[in-house]
Amino acid sequence: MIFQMPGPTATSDWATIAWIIISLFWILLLFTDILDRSRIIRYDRFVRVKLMYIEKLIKEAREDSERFLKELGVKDPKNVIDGFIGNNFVIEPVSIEPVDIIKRMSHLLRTRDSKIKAYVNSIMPDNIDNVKKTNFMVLLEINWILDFYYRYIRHLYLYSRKYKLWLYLIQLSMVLPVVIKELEAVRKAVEPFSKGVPVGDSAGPMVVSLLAPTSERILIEEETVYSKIDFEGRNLYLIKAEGPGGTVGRPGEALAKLVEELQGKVARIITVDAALKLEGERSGSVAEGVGAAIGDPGPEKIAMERVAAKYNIPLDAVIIKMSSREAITEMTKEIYEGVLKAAERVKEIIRTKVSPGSNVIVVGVGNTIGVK
Amino acid sequence: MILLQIDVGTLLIILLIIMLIATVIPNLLSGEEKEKNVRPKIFTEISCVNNDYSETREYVPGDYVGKILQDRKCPKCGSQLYIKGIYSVYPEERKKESVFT
Ligand SMILES: [Zn+2]
Repeated sequence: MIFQMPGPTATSDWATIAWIIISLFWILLLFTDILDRSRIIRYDRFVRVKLMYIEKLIKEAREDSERFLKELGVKDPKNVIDGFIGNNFVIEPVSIEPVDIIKRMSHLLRTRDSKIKAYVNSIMPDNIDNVKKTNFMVLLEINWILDFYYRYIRHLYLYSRKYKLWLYLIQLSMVLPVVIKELEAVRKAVEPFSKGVPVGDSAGPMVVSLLAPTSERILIEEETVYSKIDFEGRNLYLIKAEGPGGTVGRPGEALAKLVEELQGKVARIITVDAALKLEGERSGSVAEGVGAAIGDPGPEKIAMERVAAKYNIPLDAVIIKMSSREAITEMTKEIYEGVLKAAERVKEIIRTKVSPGSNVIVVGVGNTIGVK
Repeated sequence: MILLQIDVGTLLIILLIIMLIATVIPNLLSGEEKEKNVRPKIFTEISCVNNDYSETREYVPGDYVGKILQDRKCPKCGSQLYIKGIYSVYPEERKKESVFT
């Protein structure tokens, strides 16, 4: 249509003006980078708005955490949180020479844990119980994660602006919506961890708790306990983190220790853990497989695999599926039903695959918040 | 009939304006799709150690799974009651997330 327009002499003045405007548009669009620039401005604005939103999430999480601290009688909660989030990083061990990397990594992680513990102990009044302290450690980590992501995204944004790395900016705006969804979930985790309500990730410890609800919990490793019960003639050992505070304990090391104490006479090891579902899968569905079901950086998982391999003990895995968001927010009913199912599945495995009289160990992996 | 006799130029101008509006408006309208801060309702399931009785009540701060209730006994057999599970239920809206399940 446009190209069949008659020349300026034809219809009217309006037509001439319109024709000129359209021609100008075409020239601008075809021969300048105005189109790209206008898009970049849009990406830029998008990222800026998202950054402001993350700032808001940080502020909300901050306020809730500070309120939690105030209720416990901590003076100056703002500085307490600032003092942590500004000084919390772990430098990864050298991996180009992998000899004893697990030992080195585990050493670094433990140093970090004890550092956080010492920090929390130094700021908390003496009369506060351990449960509140461990829960607060999680709150500190939540604040740190939000703050770290904010700083990192801001860095990418400013860096791409400074050096005109537009592709960075575009990539950033492409991934941001997903990152924000995750950060929203992290922000929501403040609530269960300050109240002490089980989260989705507590599924593993909860299965263990269901198998022996009222049994004595005996400390075996730091922040890790075990119970021994008789299950239809089998000696059932149950390992989980020490609850009901928000900790994951050291299930791998505890398992290794227990197996050594039993001199390797274990018929079967069953690990139970929450696992990330695939999109489209149902939350709370239970699946059974082989291996160590645990999502730690390495030390705990390898401890399980090593001890199982050393004594040739079959290693089963039972997982309860959920989304990353469900894993860190209050346990939903679907997941709770999954927990009940998983407990039945574990019993079934023991009944069918472990002969009466022998030892079997069940390890409930995950954060034991709200589960004793 | 007279009203319909618009010449090509005016038509183009109108077209331009419509195009401009069509590009700008979606941009203005697509504000932040902010997530409503929906809090779930939390329930506590209580069970008897002999597994013959169970009830569900609202969560009370201080509840945790595996807690033995000191102040109550099972109405059926008189043994100890303990907290079997704690779970949350979201208002209907949130469940729409999973279309393919
Ligand atoms: Zn009873």
